[in-house]
Amino acid sequence: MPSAAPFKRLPTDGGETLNIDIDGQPCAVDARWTVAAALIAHGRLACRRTADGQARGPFCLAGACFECRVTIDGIPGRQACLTPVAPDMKITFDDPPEDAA
Amino acid sequence: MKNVDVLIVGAGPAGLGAALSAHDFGLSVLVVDENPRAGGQIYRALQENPARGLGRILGADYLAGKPLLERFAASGVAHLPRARVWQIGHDNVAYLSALSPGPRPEPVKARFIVLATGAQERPFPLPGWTIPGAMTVGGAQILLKTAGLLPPDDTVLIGGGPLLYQFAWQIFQAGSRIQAIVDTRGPIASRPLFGHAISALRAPALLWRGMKLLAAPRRHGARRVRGAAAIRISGESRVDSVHYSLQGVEHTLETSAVLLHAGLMPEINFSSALGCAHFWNRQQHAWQAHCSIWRESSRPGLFIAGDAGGIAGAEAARLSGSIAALEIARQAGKIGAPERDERARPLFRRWRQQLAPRPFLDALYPPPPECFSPPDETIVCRCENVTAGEIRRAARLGASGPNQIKALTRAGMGPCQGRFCACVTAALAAQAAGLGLGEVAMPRGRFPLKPVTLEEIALSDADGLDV
Repeated sequence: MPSAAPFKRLPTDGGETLNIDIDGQPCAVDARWTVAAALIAHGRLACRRTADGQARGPFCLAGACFECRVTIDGIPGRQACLTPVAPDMKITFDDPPEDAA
Repeated sequence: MKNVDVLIVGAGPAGLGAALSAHDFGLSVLVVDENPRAGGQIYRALQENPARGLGRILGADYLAGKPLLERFAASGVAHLPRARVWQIGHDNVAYLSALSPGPRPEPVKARFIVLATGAQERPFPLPGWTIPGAMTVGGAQILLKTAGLLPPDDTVLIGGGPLLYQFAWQIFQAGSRIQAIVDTRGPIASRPLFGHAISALRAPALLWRGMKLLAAPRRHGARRVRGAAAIRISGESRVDSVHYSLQGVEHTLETSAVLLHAGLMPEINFSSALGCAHFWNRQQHAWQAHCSIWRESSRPGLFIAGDAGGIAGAEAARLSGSIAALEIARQAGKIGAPERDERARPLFRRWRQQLAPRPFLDALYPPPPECFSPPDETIVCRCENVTAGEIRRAARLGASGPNQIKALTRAGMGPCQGRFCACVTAALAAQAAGLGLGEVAMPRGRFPLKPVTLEEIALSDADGLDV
């Protein structure tokens, strides 16, 4: 399979960035982003697996579909699309899918 | 327990319109919303855009929200962001949970409640729509608004409708590109459309913009495919291609992202769980709550403003919020009926202008057939992994509507509470019974409307709670 093309960032107005940890990887992100935006910008489109092993990731980005559930600072089942990033936030995946990003 | 005159659920244009007007009448108002900032999905991040030039990219409709957000910020109306109402119990007591760390919000007893919960994108169940990298067009637009993120250059858009073409135009405005639009619009039934076009002429600016949007993909090198059938998405842990058939010939587009859009429908989980009367809107192919002209539902004191009560767009939403507030002010004894009517007259006039082009748009972009009759292998309920085939089997076994099918198959029982499957399940049940789309039972919303922890229920002073 050809490697997936990334989501792209528009030039920003130079706002604040902060560091978060996505599955052990340090990532610099815009301080105004949500966790879902941070995951997608870093190519992490899959964030959990269903009981029968299907990969799932952010879908509606509006708080309705609950597909973007991740573990944030140890609390599982948080909606990445409704959670703003915060300094040193740690994001892990309950049942980490091998990401094809 | 906190007491307010008016509790408003949702800080989009309808909620803000209602809040500002109710506040002007001296009523105490609380606005609750899941997001960190007011504005709803339409004006997301309008006041704190991370990207340069985003206003130019997103267009005038987006910037139009600025005065409303500024007025709301200056009004001093109480706003509880990052919180959600998960139940409305006896005596109009609303139970809230916080989406942020910190103190637990106490229950709110309100004399009047305005549901301004907006629209959601219609579920568009295609084989493979659950694979990461497949998202809704509205979701991708939220990423652009809030994070300045653009989808990959090889993205394929599937579906149709104003929002899809508006988003494609925004991508081009940003200097980016997409690979293709697979437009699912069928052949036009020209006679009713012509009639609606006449009334749509009352909104010439909108028609002109529509033509500009439809012409944009070709000018920017995006392929536009019409009449595709058997559309499916493939990939393992990431989308890798879209397949479709065109006049019997199979085509494949390799891609890293697929964006789906099949129109909008009202968010009715609240009003349905509260037992409000609803009807099937044949033009918009969706259930919506019965409301008086003042936007009051069949449950006294419960108002439904904006797209949650029928899709009509942001400006109509703001006006309907103000209209609801006028009747609330009358019932609260702040004004009499003559003053209400006098103040409402210009609002109704502008509201009707906003509604004029809707029948045309609704007729131009009916939901694609896949929304009501996906192939058997398609996952319909994303949360519980229930396929269209399993739902059809349950319907053949005698389950008479979406609520019985839910009990038999678990379709609609997951954390999204049927938001992305219930209308599809209902359509499949209708077909199995040989009925029209709106002739089966409406999917019944249930509290809690979104997942809550046991702790939240236990500590919520839950006297009036049916749990």
